[in-house]
Amino acid sequence: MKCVIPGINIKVFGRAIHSLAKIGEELYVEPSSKGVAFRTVNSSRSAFASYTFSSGFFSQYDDGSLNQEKDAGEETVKCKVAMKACLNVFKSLATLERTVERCKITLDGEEDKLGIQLNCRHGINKTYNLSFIECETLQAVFDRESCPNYIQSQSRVLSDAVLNFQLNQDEVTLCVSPEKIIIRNYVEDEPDPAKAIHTVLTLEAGEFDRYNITGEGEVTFCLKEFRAVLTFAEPVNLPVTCHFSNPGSPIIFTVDNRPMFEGTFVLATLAEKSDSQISRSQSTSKQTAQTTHTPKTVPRIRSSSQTSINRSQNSTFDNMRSEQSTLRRSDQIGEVSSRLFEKRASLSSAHNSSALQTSSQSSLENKPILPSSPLRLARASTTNGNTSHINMSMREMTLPDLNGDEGEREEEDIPGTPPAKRAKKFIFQRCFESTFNPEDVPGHDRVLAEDSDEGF
Amino acid sequence: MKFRGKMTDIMCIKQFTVVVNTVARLAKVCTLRITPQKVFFIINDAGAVGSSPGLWAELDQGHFFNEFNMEGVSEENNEIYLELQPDKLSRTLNSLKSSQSARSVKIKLTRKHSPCLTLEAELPSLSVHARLVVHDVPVQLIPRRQWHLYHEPEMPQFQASVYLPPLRQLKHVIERMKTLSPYVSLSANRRGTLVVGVTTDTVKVSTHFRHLPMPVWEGQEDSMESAPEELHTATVDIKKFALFLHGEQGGPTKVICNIVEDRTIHMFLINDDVTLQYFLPAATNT
Repeated sequence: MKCVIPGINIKVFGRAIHSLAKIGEELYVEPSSKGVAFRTVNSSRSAFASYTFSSGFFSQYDDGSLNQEKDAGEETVKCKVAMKACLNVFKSLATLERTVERCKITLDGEEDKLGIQLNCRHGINKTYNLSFIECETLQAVFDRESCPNYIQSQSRVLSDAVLNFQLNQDEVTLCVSPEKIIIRNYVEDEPDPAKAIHTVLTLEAGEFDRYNITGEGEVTFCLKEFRAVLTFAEPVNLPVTCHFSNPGSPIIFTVDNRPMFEGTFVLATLAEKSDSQISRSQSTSKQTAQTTHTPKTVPRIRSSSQTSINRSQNSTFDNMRSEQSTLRRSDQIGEVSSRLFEKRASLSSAHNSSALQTSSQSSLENKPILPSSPLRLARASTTNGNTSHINMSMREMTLPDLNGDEGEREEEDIPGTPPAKRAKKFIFQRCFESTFNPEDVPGHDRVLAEDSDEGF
Repeated sequence: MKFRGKMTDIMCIKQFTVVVNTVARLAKVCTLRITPQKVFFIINDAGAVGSSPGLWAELDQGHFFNEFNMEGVSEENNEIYLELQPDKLSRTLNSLKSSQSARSVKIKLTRKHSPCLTLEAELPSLSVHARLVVHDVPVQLIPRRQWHLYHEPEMPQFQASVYLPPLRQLKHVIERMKTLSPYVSLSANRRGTLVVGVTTDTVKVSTHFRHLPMPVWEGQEDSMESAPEELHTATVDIKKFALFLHGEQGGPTKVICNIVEDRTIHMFLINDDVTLQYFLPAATNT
C-alpha cells in the first residue's frame, strides 16, 4: 500500500491519530481498494474507534493489490503498530501544518515496516519506519441502522456540554426524552455518593440539528472516549451524529465527511441496574428469551452478576446444573453472563417444564432478526471466509450458535462483566439481618445524646 | 434554614470565583458563614495562631448577589454555618467560567441526597434555548454549639505595618527564594522599608523595598515613636507564603502586611467589596 497525503490534509490526519491515541494502544492499519482504515480498540475492549480515509483524501493512492497480482489470492497487508510510535510522528499538529508539504505512507509487506515519510519545507525529509505485526481485520460488529434513537449536533454544542463535567469524571449518563436531553455525571456507589458533586445539564431538543428520540431512556458511557470524539470533531467543525438504543447496547458516534473521510466511535454502555433485570427475568419465559437477547455490554462495570448471586441463593442450583448440562457444553461454565442466561432459563423452566426448550428455540428464531446488535469485535480472516467473533459484550448472543457451527466457539474467552461492587455488600452483610429488630436491643429507648437543635 | 442567592453580573461571578479559588488553594476544608449582610469564607487550620482563623474572607452580599434570601437557624441566630470542600466549589465555578461565561448563577442550599450547595447556572447556547446546568456540591452543616470556633480574628498588636509592593512582583522574588530555603524572613520598619530575605549556611539573599506607603492605624501613633528605623522580623514557611501570593487575588487595590515580631504575619487584602485577612504563623525552628 502506498498513499500520499497532501499538506492541506495533514492536520486532519494528525488529529485523527491523536483521537485514536486517546483510546487504544495499538493502531490497526487496513488498506482496501477504496481507502485506508485506521482503527483501534481500548484495552478493556469497551471502545472501538475507526477512521476511514477514502482515496479522495489522498493525492495519490495505491492499495497495493496491483503489485500482488503475481501471487494471486493474497490480499493486501493488514497490520498493527504501536500507537505511541505513530503518535510521535504526528506529535505537534501546529508544526505539521506549518512545515509538512506532503506525507507519504507506505506499507511494505516484505520488510514488515510501516514507512511514514514527511516531506517538509526547505527540502527536509523525515522518514519514520515503524515495525508492525501482521494481523487480521479489526471490526466491531454493530448496526447503526437498528438503533431507534439518533441525534445530530454541532460538535461545539456537545463539547461545551462536556466542559461542565469534572476532568476526573469517568462516565456520564445521557437521559433522553422527546423534548430534551439531560446529561448527568454517573456517580458510583462507592465511595459515598453523598460526598460527590452531582452535575445535571439540560439541553433542549432545539439545540440539535437532527433529533429523533422515540421514547424516554438513558445510556451511560465513558466520558474519556467521548472526549476523544469531540477533540477530533470540534476543530474540523463537523457535526457529530450519535446513535443508540437501550442500556447495554453500544452507542455509536460518527463524524461524517464523506467522500473524504469518516470517523466512527463505538462505545459500550452500562447495562441496566440489576433490580430491573430481576423483575424482568421473573416474567414469562418468552420475555426471558428476549431479555437474554438484549446485549448487556458492560465494560469493566457492574451488571448482572448480582442477579446471579441472588438466584443461586434462593434456589435449585443442582437442578439447574443438570439442566444446563443437557443444554450446553461445559466449556463456558464460569462465565458470569452466560451463567445468568442458564439461571434465567432454568428459572423459567420452573414455571413451565417445557419452557426451557421453548426459550432456546425462540432465541434461535430471534437470531436472524437481531443479527448484529451487540458490540462484538470480530477478527475476520477473510482468507478462509470464516468469521470468528471475539465479543466484548455478552455471551448470550453466541449461545444460539451452540447448536450450529462448532468452530465458531473456539476463541479466547473474554470474561464478562466483573462482579458488581454492590455484591460485596450483599456477601458481607450481617447474617442475622433478616431477623434483626432494633427494638429488641436492650436499652434502645434510652437517649444518650439529645438531638441537635439544628434541623434542616 | 434557607439560603438562596443569585448572581447575574459576569464580573461578580468572576470575582466570586477568584475568592473561592484563593480559598481552595489554601485549605482542603473551609467554612462558609452566611449572614443577612455578608458571606464569609473561613479557614480555621491553615495558619492557626491560638484560636484565630488562618483566613477570614468577608464578602458583601449586596455587591455580589442581585437576589439574596436567607433564613438562619432561628430569629436571634440568623446565620448559617456550612463546612465544605472549597476545591469542589472552585472546580464547579471554574467549569462555569471555562465553557462560556454563565449568564447567571444561582446558589442555593438544598437537601438532595445530602445537604448540598446547589449551583444553577444558565449558560448561553448557540440557539435561543436556555441551557441549564445544575451542580450539587455536598456540604455539612455546622451545629450551633460549634459556632464559637469561627469568630472574627482580632487585629494583632503588630510592631510594623506597610503596604506590600504589587503582589506579582513579590511573587517572582519569592519563587526564586523558594529554591534556596524553606523559610523566608519578612522584616519591616516604620519608614516604609520591607526586606524579604532567605538565609542558608552558604548564602544570604535579601530583596529590599524602600519607601513603601504605610497605612495609618488609629491609636497606634504613641507606640510608633521609638526607633522608627528598627526592623521587625518574622520568619514564615516560604511555601505557604508563596501559595498565598500565587493567586491573582482578584487584583486587590491594597495589601497591608502587619508584622508581629517573631509571631505572625498578618496580611490584609482590601478590595471594594471583599476583604481578606490571612494569618501566617512564624516558623519556630529556624
